[in-house]
Amino acid sequence: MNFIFLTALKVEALPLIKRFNLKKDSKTQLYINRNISLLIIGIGKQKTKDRLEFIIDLKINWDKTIIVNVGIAGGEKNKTKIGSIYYINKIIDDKSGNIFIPDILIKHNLEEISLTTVLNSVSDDSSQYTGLVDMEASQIFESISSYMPCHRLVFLKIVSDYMDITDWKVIDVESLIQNQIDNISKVINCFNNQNLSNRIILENLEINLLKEYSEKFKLTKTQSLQLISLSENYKKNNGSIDGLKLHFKQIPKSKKERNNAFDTIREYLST
Amino acid sequence: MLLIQSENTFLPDFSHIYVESEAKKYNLTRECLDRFPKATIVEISDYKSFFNRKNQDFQIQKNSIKIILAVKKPPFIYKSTDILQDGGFRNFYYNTPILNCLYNCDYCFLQGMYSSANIVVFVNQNDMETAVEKELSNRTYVNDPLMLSISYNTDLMAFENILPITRSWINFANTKPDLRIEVRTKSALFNSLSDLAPSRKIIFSWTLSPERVVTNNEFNTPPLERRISAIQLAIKKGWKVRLCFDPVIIYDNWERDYGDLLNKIIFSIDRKNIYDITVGVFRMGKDYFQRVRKSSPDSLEYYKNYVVEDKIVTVCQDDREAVKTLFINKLRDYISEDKIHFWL
Repeated sequence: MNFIFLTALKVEALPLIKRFNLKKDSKTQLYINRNISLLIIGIGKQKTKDRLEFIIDLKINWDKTIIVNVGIAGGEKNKTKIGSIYYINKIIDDKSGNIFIPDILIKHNLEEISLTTVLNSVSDDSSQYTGLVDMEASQIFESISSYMPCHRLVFLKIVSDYMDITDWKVIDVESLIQNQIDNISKVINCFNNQNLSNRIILENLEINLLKEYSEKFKLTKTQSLQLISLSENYKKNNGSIDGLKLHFKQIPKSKKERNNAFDTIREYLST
Repeated sequence: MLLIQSENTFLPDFSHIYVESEAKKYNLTRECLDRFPKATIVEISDYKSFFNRKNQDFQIQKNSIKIILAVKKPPFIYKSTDILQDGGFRNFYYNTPILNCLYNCDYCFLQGMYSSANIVVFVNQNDMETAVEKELSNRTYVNDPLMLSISYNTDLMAFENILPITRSWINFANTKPDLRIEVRTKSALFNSLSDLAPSRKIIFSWTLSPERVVTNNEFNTPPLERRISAIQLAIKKGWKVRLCFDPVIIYDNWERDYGDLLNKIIFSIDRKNIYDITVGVFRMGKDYFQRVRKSSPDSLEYYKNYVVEDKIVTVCQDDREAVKTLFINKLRDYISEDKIHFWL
């Protein structure tokens, strides 16, 4: 599986960068080491939205990617403990009232809690919110859930304050994350499971090949769609569509020839 | 190596129960939460915003099914659809006490109907009962009973050890002279109902398949032998039983397997106690079929050659004829032909 960590702040990212030995890629601004990447998205929903649009454009293989948002959050005084890490099971967008729920299918050892994403930092009115409060999670869910299923979105939050702090500089963010780095690694290991990836029948290479065949034979749109559908059937039942290339050797010279050739291909793929 | 490859890390079923705020006050909610004291409870405002989320993976969710407790809004009862077998009842209805199923039959339309594999339990049973009472008064054919299928979008009896909803409906039906109820199931949990007095108003319909189909297509369902034992127990207790061979799955040597299955049924189940038999082949609405296929399921059933007739994806006419011939020939001496209903 591929993992992309999202953090709002550089200081939140530092323990992860060290732990996974990530190196900055100047082209993409991602910190990368093999299948693990990290992107600093900035504070607040708008910055999050902008930065996520950027990684969406990177043509990442979403079929086997897990997004992990790690960061600090304000906590309800009576229910949470400063320095503790929580697995988020419900995200409420404070402004819209929309609720986002990640699928929690994988075992983990963390306490679960809900989270509210607010527009501005909260420093004097903690009683208004239950669970935790952050400034990015709802936007992450909203932006990313179009590209990948809800079971590959993970939100891990470490309580930094009880929403009663005005001077944020007093919080040692890096230490808060560093102290939970083993727990974060454990969760990530649990998600390193191929069963969580999308099921693929035709690989991209095969789809591109079929597209080439369609163009070469000037297949109609319906024929092209049928070719893909029948090729899926054939591969599922026979394991490979390699034999198909023999049928695309001779380019037809007329529509009639093309249709006849396609009938032969259809027959071959239907067996 | 940065990470260790993880295997079998799915949470157990019902690790989480999502409860609509409005559902909290209902007895069935309390009963369900008491049944799973270790479950994580997550309150939600409206089940649809969770159940109908975009980009869910039905098959991956089947590894760790969650329960959603919700309050059903009208309609509480539905008239029969063309794809549902009415078994000859003219006032044929179904309702949906539960959406989705504990089992994972690969040919099932539910995976095309719903984007989630999680199970929705509607806790306002009284509203559903009131709707049935109203429909009883308004039914089209007043001299005919109203047949209600309560297990259309689920296998209700499979859920009986979790919540006794089948029992509630049987008890309700026993108070309504013109109501009949069909409980379609693959479950072997009949013993959870065996203390009830038998009622001629209830039909238990067991779906039976050769062991090969049970293993390859009907994931998480009880083996054939246990289903047959459940049928035998129901019959022994005096209940009416319908046998469903639906869908008959077509594959190499299907005739041999289904022939063996029918021999076993003829040998082990006394014909006098069979209400009727229904036989069908794989069929699914084209939209549902495409939706399932788009999710690239592991099942081979979605990669076979089918025909599309009236927006229904099904097996070819020759195979349908072969199914009919096999069943008529095999069952000829077992049950009269008018008691065999084909969906072909």
